[in-house]
Amino acid sequence: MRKFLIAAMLALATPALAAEHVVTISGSEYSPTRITAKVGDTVRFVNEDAVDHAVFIPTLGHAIDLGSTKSGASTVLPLRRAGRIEVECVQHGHMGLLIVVTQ
Amino acid sequence: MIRTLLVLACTALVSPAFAGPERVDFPTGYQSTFYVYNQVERPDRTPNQIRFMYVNRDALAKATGNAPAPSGTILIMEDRYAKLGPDGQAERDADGRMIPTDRVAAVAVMEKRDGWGAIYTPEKGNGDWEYAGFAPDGTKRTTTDAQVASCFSCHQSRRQRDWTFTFIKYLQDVGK
Ligand SMILES: [Cu+2]
Repeated sequence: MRKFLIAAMLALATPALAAEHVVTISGSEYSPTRITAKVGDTVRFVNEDAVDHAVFIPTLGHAIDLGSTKSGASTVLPLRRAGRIEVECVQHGHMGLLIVVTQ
Repeated sequence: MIRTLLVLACTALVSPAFAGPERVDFPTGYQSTFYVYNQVERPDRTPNQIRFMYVNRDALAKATGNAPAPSGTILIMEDRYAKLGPDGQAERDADGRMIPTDRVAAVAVMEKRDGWGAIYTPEKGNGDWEYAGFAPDGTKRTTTDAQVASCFSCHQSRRQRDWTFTFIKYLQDVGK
């Protein structure tokens, strides 16, 4: 019981730690192609391809263009708002990733 | 010979006088007459910018997400500077979005008219779309061949959305 109380108090006192979700870009695809996350989390896109890719979100209320991510480089997307966010690559129209962000 | 010359001269007269970016006029007064359908943050720009996306209301009324945009559609990409806090970072609203100022960095326009694409090969052309870039006051055109070529080549990846990155997607997302 005491253990439970301590755990409950810790849970209340400690803000949930923000998570970093890693999405790799390889073979001109995002992997995975769907992730779920919380507001405050971040998504790191790691470009493992030899060519440049991009992180572009046209979704209303979330729209953002992070520009190009060079071969071997990575880009971080902060998730500031709940919603269903669609990520696209500027250079490659077929690439897609859905991020479901909850409070 | 003279007849041939005459025919050539006549052909020259009836052909469009302009091709490429010269066909796209600066949409004077667009901030009060066009509709802002999306705002795209550019945190990769220093200082940060917010890209306002506009469409003319006539075209918006006719457009749907499952067909190419109608002839006469004018889309504007207006880069505005974001409001910065004392620390130099972009200020954010309650939703975590950047707050725009009214200071404009650049204006780019894409416009389509029936038949405009005829002067391009299918591989190079973007349907009937043309592109042009302007300074914020609309007076200075920044449209070298290379700049316009980069508009055409970048938009090729959205051929399935009538060569638009945000407009057809916007129509689809709002169920129009
Ligand atoms: Cu790509």
